[in-house]
Amino acid sequence: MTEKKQLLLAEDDELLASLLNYRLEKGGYEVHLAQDGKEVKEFLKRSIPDIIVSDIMMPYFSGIELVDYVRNDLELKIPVIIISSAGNEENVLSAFELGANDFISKPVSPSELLVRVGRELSKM
Amino acid sequence: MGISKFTHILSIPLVPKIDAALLWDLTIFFAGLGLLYLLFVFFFRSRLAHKSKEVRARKKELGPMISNFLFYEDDVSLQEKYNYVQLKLEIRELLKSDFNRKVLVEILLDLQKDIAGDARNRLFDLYKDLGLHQDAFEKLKSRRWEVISKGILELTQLQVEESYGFIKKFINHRRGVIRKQAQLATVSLKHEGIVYFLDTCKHRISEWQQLKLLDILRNFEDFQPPRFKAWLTAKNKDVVLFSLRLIKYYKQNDANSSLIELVKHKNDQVKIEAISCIKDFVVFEALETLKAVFWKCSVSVKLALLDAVASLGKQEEISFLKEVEKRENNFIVKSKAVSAINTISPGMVMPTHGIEPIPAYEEDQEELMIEEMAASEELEPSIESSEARSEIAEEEVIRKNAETQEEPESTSLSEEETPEEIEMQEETKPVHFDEVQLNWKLPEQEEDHTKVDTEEVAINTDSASNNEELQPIEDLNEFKINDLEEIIMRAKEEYQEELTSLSSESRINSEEAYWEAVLDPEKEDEIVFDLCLMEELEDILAQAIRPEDSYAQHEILPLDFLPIVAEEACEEQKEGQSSSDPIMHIEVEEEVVHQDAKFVEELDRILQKVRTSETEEEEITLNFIPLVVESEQDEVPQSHAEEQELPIEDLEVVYEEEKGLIESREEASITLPWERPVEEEKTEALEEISTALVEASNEEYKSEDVQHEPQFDLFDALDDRVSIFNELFRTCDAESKLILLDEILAVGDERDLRFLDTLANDEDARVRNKAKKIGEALKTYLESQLPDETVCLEMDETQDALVENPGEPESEEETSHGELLPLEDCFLQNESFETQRLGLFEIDFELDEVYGATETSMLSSVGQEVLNQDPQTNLLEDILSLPTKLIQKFNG
Repeated sequence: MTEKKQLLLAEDDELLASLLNYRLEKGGYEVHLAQDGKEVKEFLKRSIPDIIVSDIMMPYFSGIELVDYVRNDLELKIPVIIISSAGNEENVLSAFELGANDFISKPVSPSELLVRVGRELSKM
Repeated sequence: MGISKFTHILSIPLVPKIDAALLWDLTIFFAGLGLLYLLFVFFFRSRLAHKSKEVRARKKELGPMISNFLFYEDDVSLQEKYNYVQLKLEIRELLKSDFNRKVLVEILLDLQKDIAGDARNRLFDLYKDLGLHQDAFEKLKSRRWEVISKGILELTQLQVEESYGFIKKFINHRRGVIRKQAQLATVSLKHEGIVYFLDTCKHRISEWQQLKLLDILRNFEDFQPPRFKAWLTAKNKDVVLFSLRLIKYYKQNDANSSLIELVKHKNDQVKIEAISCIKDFVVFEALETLKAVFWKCSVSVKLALLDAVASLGKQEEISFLKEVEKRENNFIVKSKAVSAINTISPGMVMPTHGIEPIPAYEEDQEELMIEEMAASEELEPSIESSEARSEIAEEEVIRKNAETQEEPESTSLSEEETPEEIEMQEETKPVHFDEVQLNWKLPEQEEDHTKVDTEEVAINTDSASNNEELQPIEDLNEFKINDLEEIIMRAKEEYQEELTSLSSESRINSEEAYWEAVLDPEKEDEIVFDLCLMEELEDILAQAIRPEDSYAQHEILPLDFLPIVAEEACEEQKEGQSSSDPIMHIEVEEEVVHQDAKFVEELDRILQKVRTSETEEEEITLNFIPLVVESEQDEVPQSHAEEQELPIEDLEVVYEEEKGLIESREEASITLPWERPVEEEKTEALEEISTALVEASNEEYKSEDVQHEPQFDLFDALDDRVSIFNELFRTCDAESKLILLDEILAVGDERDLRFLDTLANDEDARVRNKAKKIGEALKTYLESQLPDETVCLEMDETQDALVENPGEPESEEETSHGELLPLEDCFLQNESFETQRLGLFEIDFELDEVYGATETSMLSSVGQEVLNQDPQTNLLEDILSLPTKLIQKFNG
């Protein structure tokens, strides 16, 4: 029996986080939820997930800062997928410049997100 | 009694009696009210917080349940199916509570914003499966408008198509919020909702509402829009307007006739939208209607209409547009009409403001055109008048100049112009070459405006002489050089005019004119522009001009040394007449100098002599000078004023005059005047300074090879004729004659000896005596002109002997040096003097502020200021003051 891939889902909207969590768990991932930047940092200090799915707008710690933190401070090469709102292309570009692997815009299709996560993990 | 009553009345308002117990009661009452208010606030705040917390908790509880329902799949294990059934039962129990129903609806409304795809559709189904839409239907029956609005919004967002029939009834609701909500719901719930909406809408549709409706339609998948032309006949103008916009958005170009009719609509918005559709759909049939309704339209409609005409119009619309340009009062509409004309026919309306004519080339061009037209018998151009020709030539010259500078190669016939375009341009011109057969073929390509203009010139010039092919107009290089020369001269003339007008008007006429000239930025800009233009053009000319031309510039005869000449030139400049640049060529200079025939004739003689380098002495009767003087004397006050207000020319006169004198001295190999004891104010200090200057100049001369360019001066030409003092003495008084006699000693020669002999018969004894003494001294001096080393000393001695005035100090050389100066040093001192003099005049030319002194003479002001600035220059005062005195005496 293979181990489930660790996925860190950083999303401040509880309902959406719950929905995506359910879908991703159902997709075979072990999902760790974080509602803001602080929780993300604390989690990353404890363990390193296989992939990170993060909303770009979060309290205390934005998705761009998260990418910067993972790439430059922790020097991790794990995939990072950014969830952005429509019309937030500038932030998405900034995230890509900092090292984000992929992005998906709201409204999010849970099935699409599952596919993108799988694709990023398969690249590693 | 009465007094006590009055006192009692007064005491009431001043000292009110308030019971302390009552005050305490009131205090307790209001404190209680405040406390009660705080309790209420605390209670309700706690209740709301509790409720919010409860909702969050319930959302947390129901969220995963919703997720289970949304992502349930049939191909799961039996255990999962069993859990799913249990979940359904559980949620059924929860839905019995209104609170849970509300929370569940909130969850679904929130989620539908964030999720997409299949999960979203499942969410809509879940909403209906759970029977939550029934609550929304109940809300529609409410009497409260906000509840109805919430119900419509819920049903719309969760896509309950069954509610379409209920919601569409609210489209014309009297309350705007419900009406707008219902309109959006009707359009979004079903594709046919837009049809119902347009059919039944009776109220105004705001711009924002139209945008939202359009956004809904735009986001429809597989939407087949109806033919919106059906609603162009609606009574509601907003429906018509919205339909027009929908027609435009969906590009339904099957309603051209309706669009044309709507141009006549009363509403401007409808008109503008219809015109916009006509323009987008290129409805040529609408042009006549557009032109017909133009004069009854508002400005905004006119602008849209002209835009459409510009887009759709052809040559036939030019007349209409010109009429609009002519008749319309509104500037914006006029500009739009001109823009439309240029859009239809590029380059038809050329810029006219600020365009300068070039008359010199105009004449040439006109003559060229006339000659060519006369030479061509086959052609009969329909030029009706020479004025029209001159206008055409002027335009062509302007265009040609611009094109020659920008694209010299484009003056030949462009191969890009189509015959149609040329015909169009010819039609618009006032001149028609109707019978000209242009037998040249051109590829059909889009034209360049500049080339078209150039080709017009080619047509006008060459078509008359040669019908077969259009040749280049003329040699471009020649044209360029000649034209540039003319441009430079013109720019200089205009600059001089501007400068003269600014300076003279500001100084002499009035303060008003001064401030007008100074504060007028346009004038300043024009002057600066002229300066820049002159510099640029001179650079170009310096590169392009031929060597012989540059050689011609060395043969300059600066004839402006005469005051009369300067005044004449200045007067011409004042009057705005074109005066040629004196440095260009002498023929022009002669014309400028004087218009008098005698003067010109005499001057021709002089100049001819100069050119042929005749050395023989010939006396010339300077009859032209008194003639001029007399003519000037008639205007003595004015002339005198002009001397003061024209410092530049006057300074040039002084400069040239001084230069001529000194150079003649150099040629005669005699000592300099300032080495002689001729000045009264020479002091010991000045003698020391002059000595130092001489020594310094000697050293400088030894160290540097000082080059002096020989410059021709009319004084050289006059040297071999008659004394220049002859005419001066005829018009001055005795005192002036005495002064002039001193000057004769300084600058005199053999001719002056003869002149001094004639003064022996003067009426004034003082003049006779002084003339005699001066003559003897001058004679002695001239006889002693030998190439030995004693020249300088002899001259000093001669001058010492001559100067017998008791008040005058002794000679500088005698007191300071007292020894012989070598001949070389004399010339070195001459060099030193000239260096100083040039330096002084360099200063003089910068003394613009001195020109502002209107009370004193310009030249004397300059000389005095220079002398005040540097004590060394006092040594040269006699030289500097000579022309001043001459001019003053000359003017009486």
